[in-house]
Amino acid sequence: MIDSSEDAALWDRARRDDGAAFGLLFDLHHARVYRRALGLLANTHDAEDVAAAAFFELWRKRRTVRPVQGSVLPWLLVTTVNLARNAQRAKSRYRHVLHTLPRDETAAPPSAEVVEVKQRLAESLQNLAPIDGALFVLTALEGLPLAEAAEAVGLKPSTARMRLHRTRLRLRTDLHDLKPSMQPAIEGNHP
Amino acid sequence: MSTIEMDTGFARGVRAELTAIGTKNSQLQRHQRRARAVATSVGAVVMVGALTGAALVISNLPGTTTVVPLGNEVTATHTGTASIDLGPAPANATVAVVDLTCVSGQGWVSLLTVPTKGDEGPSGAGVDCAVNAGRTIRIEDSLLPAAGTTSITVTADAGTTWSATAQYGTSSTSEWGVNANGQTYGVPNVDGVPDLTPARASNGEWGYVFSDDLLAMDREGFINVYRADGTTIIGQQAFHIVENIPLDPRFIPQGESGDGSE
Repeated sequence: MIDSSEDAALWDRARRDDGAAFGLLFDLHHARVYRRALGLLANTHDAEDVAAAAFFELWRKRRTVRPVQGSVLPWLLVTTVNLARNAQRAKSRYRHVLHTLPRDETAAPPSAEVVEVKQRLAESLQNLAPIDGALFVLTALEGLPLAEAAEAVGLKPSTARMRLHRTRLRLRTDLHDLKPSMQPAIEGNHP
Repeated sequence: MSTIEMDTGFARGVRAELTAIGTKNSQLQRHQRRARAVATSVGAVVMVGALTGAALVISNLPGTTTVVPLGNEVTATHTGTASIDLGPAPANATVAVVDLTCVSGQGWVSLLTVPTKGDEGPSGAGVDCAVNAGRTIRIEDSLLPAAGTTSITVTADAGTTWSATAQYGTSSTSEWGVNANGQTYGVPNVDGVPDLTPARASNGEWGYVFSDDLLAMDREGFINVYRADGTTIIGQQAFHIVENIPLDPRFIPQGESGDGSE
């Protein structure tokens, strides 16, 4: 899933303020980041803002970002989840920049059912500790191996497995009437 | 079924903003510079207000910039972006000194300042009126009027009213100290950031922190405060991140860190 050699080389350039490298990282990862934001936010414009803010945060925090297996994608996804928890704050930090970006004003509204599922999931995630929410999103929704997700949030895999187990039980209770189908976390690393 | 692709126009805009990083056109970097300038100004105000006893020590630190005002003061009040005519510059003028006051309770007011060595183009300093209404901030390193002109421009959001008192000045900067290990220490100035920058430990003692330690802090915690030798630890400084102010070593530490400095 992660082509870490390409990613690592780009990140090495990007963190030294190489704009072209940031552009290429955006090309590689923006679809995943946007889809993740859209999975948590009912409004397309909010999802766009949060996805953009995640990349702007990648630049702002370039000195402390921890790539996982050479890739910044896990960091971007965790950041997206955290920004989506408070979309308003994410937008206010970058309002000067976001205001200048072109908008498609014709986006169709999502269906009521989709909105409800998203809201319920977002609310449930909001009630979790940030680290547990991030672990759940990375493993269950993004299909990241548990070891990589653990590394992304700074936990030992054994601790991560335990916390994830608790989170899944809790979400299953919270969302029981929506019959969520959650894929199990993949153990270990991708080949 | 709603679309799951980011709108192409919006994506192109975000990408353009990212590729502008490292160039003069980067809004992200420009905004960071403005936020940084405000944090530094607020830090300076806090220092003067609360640490009159320490002010003498601070002014003698290596790397300190001293500005002597020249000529007449000009006072003006405007709403939105406007120019202030300072008249012809004296031969020894190197900066403009501007006391900027927010009259409105919202919007940004800023002006261009002398760039730090190695930076492309001028930097900026300014004030966020939403948190500084009625407060006066002195900017001692404003750019001189462009060649052939006698006015400086104050940029403000439309509808934001400000007043300014401005005059020419001549600026001089002392050399940083160098310790036995060859590390520079003193105050960040137009030459950049020394290896060790001044900080006060939580026990009240003044010393220095490594600029690189400061740079690496991106969450709450503690960093060591040293003597100028860079090896003797005299205490620690508690550290927290101020919302909306990007972390940068060029902060005077008092502007950003908590515990005892305000």
